[in-house]
Formats: sequence, structure tokens, C-alpha cells
Amino acid sequence: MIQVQDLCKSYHDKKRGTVNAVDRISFVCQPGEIYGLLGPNGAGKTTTLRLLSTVLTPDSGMAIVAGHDVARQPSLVRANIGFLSGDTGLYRRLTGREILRYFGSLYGIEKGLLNRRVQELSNILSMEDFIDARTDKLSTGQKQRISIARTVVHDPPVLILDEPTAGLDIIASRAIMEFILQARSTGKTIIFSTHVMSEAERLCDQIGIIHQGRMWAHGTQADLRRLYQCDDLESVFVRAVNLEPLPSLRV
Amino acid sequence: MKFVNVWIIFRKEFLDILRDRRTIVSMILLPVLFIPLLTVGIGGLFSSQMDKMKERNSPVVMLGSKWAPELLASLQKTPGLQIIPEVPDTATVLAMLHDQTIRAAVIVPEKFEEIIQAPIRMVDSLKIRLLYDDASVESGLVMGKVRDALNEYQKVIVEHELQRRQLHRSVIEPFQVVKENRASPQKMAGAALGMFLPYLIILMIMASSQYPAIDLTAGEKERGTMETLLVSPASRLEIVLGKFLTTMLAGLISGCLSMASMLVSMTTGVSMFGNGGGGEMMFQMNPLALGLVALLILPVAALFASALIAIAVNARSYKEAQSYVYPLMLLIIVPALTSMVPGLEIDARMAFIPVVNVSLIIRNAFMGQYDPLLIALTFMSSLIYAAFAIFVAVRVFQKESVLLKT
Repeated sequence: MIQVQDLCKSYHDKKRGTVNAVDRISFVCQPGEIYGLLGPNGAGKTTTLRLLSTVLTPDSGMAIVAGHDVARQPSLVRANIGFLSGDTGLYRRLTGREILRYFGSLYGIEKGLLNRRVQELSNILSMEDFIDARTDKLSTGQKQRISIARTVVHDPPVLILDEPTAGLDIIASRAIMEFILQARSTGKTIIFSTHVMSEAERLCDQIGIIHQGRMWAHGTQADLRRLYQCDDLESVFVRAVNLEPLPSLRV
Repeated sequence: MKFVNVWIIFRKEFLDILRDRRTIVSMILLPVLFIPLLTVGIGGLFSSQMDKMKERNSPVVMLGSKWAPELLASLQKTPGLQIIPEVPDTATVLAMLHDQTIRAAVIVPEKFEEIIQAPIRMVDSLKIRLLYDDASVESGLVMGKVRDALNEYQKVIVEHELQRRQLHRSVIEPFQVVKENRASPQKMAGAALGMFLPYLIILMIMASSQYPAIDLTAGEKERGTMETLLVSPASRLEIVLGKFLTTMLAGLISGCLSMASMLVSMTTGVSMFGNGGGGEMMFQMNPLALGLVALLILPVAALFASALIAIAVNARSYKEAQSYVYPLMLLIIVPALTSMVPGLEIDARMAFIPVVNVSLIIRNAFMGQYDPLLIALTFMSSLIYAAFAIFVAVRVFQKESVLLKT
């Protein structure tokens, strides 16, 4: 589960001064659920997800991921999450198998178990033909499958996915979407950011509309359509960001 | 901190850089190929050119040869000189010397032999002018040959005069100076080696640490793998230590290979210090000196690795990092060069100047000089600087703004 309460993060920018990248954001994502963070570029989606994955430390507020506090138990949080973003790269001079073993061993998986897990992922994601090739020789789609396998090599209960389909073609994007749906069916807690409305419509159980660092609306797709009296998510989004943001929500 | 994570990261990073052509070139090929090229290649070329110049018949003008037929004959017999007995005037001589059609010129005063062979001489010593061009190596060599021939001729005249007057040679030469070089061939080879080796080793360590340091920091950011590593359970400290150890090892490998390569070149081939392998300077490997060098390059490699990482991690891309690191590379050359400064001796204060201290201690070791206090001070201060640099690198690595700058 992911619980976020009044999470804040600001940074200093030479031109703009202090920027509130994440401003009092609160939401909850349950196991077996996909929570979509929807927002334009620069809305604060990536910063929120970086706070949840402990790459950044929050200024204030609280976030509990898989039962651990991001500020106080960052290494326990990291051990329980799988992180994937659209611009995630792979080590070009290593093979897929080497990369999976590398991350697997950092997660403390015992060698025999790790080898079996890599084999299992290779079968599930059909990577047999290229898992032992250096990744600089692979196609974008093949690289993406290795990235997915890397994300779940330690079978984490929580997945944090930051625009995972950005820059991918339709086929590679579909593979990612199927992976997300498959993960939900196995009871994982999934938070997923995007600015592509169709992806959000297809995948998300809960949606949070984020803009200028603040949460402007959240709820199920049906709730949001009803609230803003729109038939599609895109109209909901446009209408939401033209109105006032929600006051800090107690969860 | 989990050491196992440091080890996992180190092992992966090292495998990664071993598959990088740039690292292989700077870590292995450069020391293995460049140093023999510098010592055997350039040194060999240098000494073979010297030999050629020594064997060549160099043109020398003798102005006023009609006043000194005996001297002319004596010079003409001297090997390596091709005497041109007459040219119109001094201006012509100067012009010829300038455009290198001749290498030296002897200008004999009027009635030279007539005066010096007269039984009673009423004049001061006569002056023979020997013109040469000190900017030209060949001209310098030719001048030496002519000077020796003139001295020989003078000796004959003096000898003849002493006999005529029935005087013993000790009248004009009450004592002789006998030079004895007490430096062992090993010490001479050590001194020559000690001048270049510290500089080369320090430079090689720097050059080969540079690529891994950039690749594992700015390169990793550029390729989008840094964030993946940051969300793994490894802590920032473990990550930076893994990267630091990899970079340091690359530097150490290059340092050791440079040393080995230089020793092999020095002992087997023609060296840049002339004389060839079997000349006066016999080089013998001194295990104590080698051990000391190995010990001292450890903190140097650590210092460079951590400084490079702390700098390179600030860059967004490989190229940007290269431009950040370049000034450091130049900065290192100055202290590394101190081993070549003659007369500069290390003392307790200098033992605290980073890089300079190691450079001078290595030089002394190859000359057979070991001062335990200075060695200990150098090692300790280098370790402290290295530890401080690692601390800075860790701190920089913990800055969010630095790590996520893309």
C-alpha cells in the first residue's frame, strides 16, 4: 500500500526562485489497485514519484510505502519497490542477464534463487533470444522488456512507474500496459504517472489530477466524470485544472 | 553500510569498464605501448642520431691556414673533420656558419707558427678563435673534436719546448686532477629513472582514472541508468564507494603497468639516457624501491579517483565532464614534474604537499635514498588527502540537485 499525506518538496531555481514542485499532496493506493497521476509536463508527477522511491527526501509531510516511511526507512522502502520510467537506460556493455543478476544481487537475492528468477522472467517476457546479448545491440522493445524484468526481479509488492511508455512505439507501449495489468492481477500496489489520457482511462482504478505541484482532483474515473459532468477523462482534466485545486485532503 | 553491496557494485562497474575500449586504451595500451615508445623509441632514435653525427665528416673552415701548415695537417688527420683550408674572409665564415654549410671555424692569427716556434717569444699567448653554433648539437660535437685536436697540438709544442729547455713537465703542471665517479651504475640508472618515472606514473594514473570516473558518474546520468541504481537498496555511500574503488583500481593498474613497462624498456632496450642497454648505466630492479612505489601510488590513485568522481558527477553528460576534468589534469602536471627539478629535495614540510611529496619520494627511492620519517609523513599525509577527497565525493553524491541534474 502507498499512503501519502501533505507531501511537500520545493527546490531553488536561479530564474524562478523557490519552486514548490510538490505542494501538500495526499492520496492512498491500495494493493491490487492502479493509481494514475495525471498531469501535464512539469506538473510535479516525477518529483512525487521520486519522493516515493526515496531518490528525493520530502521537505515535509509523510509517505508510507509498503509499510515503511520514505524519510526514515529509505532502504527498506527501496527494497520493496520496483521503479521504471520512460527514460530508464540499461548498461550498454552488459547483457540482459548480467543486468538482472546485478540488480537481483543488490536486492540480496540468493544466487540459486536469482538464477531461477531470471530464467522465469526470461520465459514470461520471451527474452530467450536476446537475454545474453549486450543491450546496445537490442531494439527498443527488447530493451524495454529487460527494463520490465529488472523492475520486478525481486518481486516487489509496490511498483512505481514514471511515464513508462514515454518515447515507445505502439507495440512496446502495449507490452508495458499488459505488464501493468498483469501486475495488478497479482495484487501489487501500482502508482503510474502519465499525460496520455487513453492510457489512464484503460488502466487506472483511481486517478489524481496534478498540476503546478498540487492535487486538483482525485477519485475513481466514474467519480470524476460525475463530479465534473464530463464523459471523457480529457474533458475532466481540462475542467479540473481550470477550477480551484482541492484543499489538502485528509486520508 | 553493507560491504557486500560495495563489492557487488565494484564488480559490475569493473566488468563494465573492462568492456569499454576507451578504458582499455588508457589503462593498458597507453602504459604498455607509450612508455616503450618514449624510452626505447625516442631514446633509440636519439642515440642513433648522436652516433650518426659523431661518425659524420663535418665541414670546418680554417681561416689563416697558410700561417699554420702543421696545425692544418694535424686537423686534417683528425677523424670526423673535413677541413676547408681557405675562405675569403671572416664575414664569409660567419655566413657559412649561420646557414650551416660549415659546423665550426678555426681562425688562426697572422704568422701563427712562426711566432710560436720562435726560440724567444716576446708576445703574450696567441689566440686562436674557435667559432661554433651552440644551438646546434652537431656544431657542439664538432667544436669538441676541434678543441681536443688543438689541445693535442698545443701539448706537442709545449713538450718540445720543455725538452729544449731541459725542464720537467711538473714545472708547468705541478699537479693533475683525476676524476673518479663513485656513483654506482645502479645509482646513475636510478637517478635517470627517478627523474622520469614519478612523473610518468602519476600522469598515467590520472589519465586512466579519468575515463572510468566520468563514465561511471556523468556517463551513467547521461544514459539514464543512475536513477535505477539510486532506487536499488544500495545506499549512496555504497554506490560511491563501489565507483571509487573501480576508478582507483583502473589508476593502480595503469600505474603498475607504467612502472613495469618502463623497467622492461630500461633493462632490455636502448634507453633515452643514451649508452644503450649495456652502457655505463646498468639498471637493476631494486625490490625495496618497487615496493615503496607500489605503496605510495595507492593513496595517489585514491586521491585522483575521488577528486575525479566528485568533479565528474556534477556534469550532465560525458562531454561536459571531460571539460570539467581537463583543468585537473593540467593541475596535476605541475606537482608531478617536480621530480625533474634538479636540486629540489623533500623535507618535512614538503612531505605535506600532495603529489609533490610522492613524486620526490619515488625519485629518492630510485636513487637508493630512503628516509623513513619522510616516507611515513608522505604516506600519512597522502592518505589524509585521499580520505578527505573521498569524503567530499560522498557528500557531492548525496546532493539531490547534482544526482538528478540531466
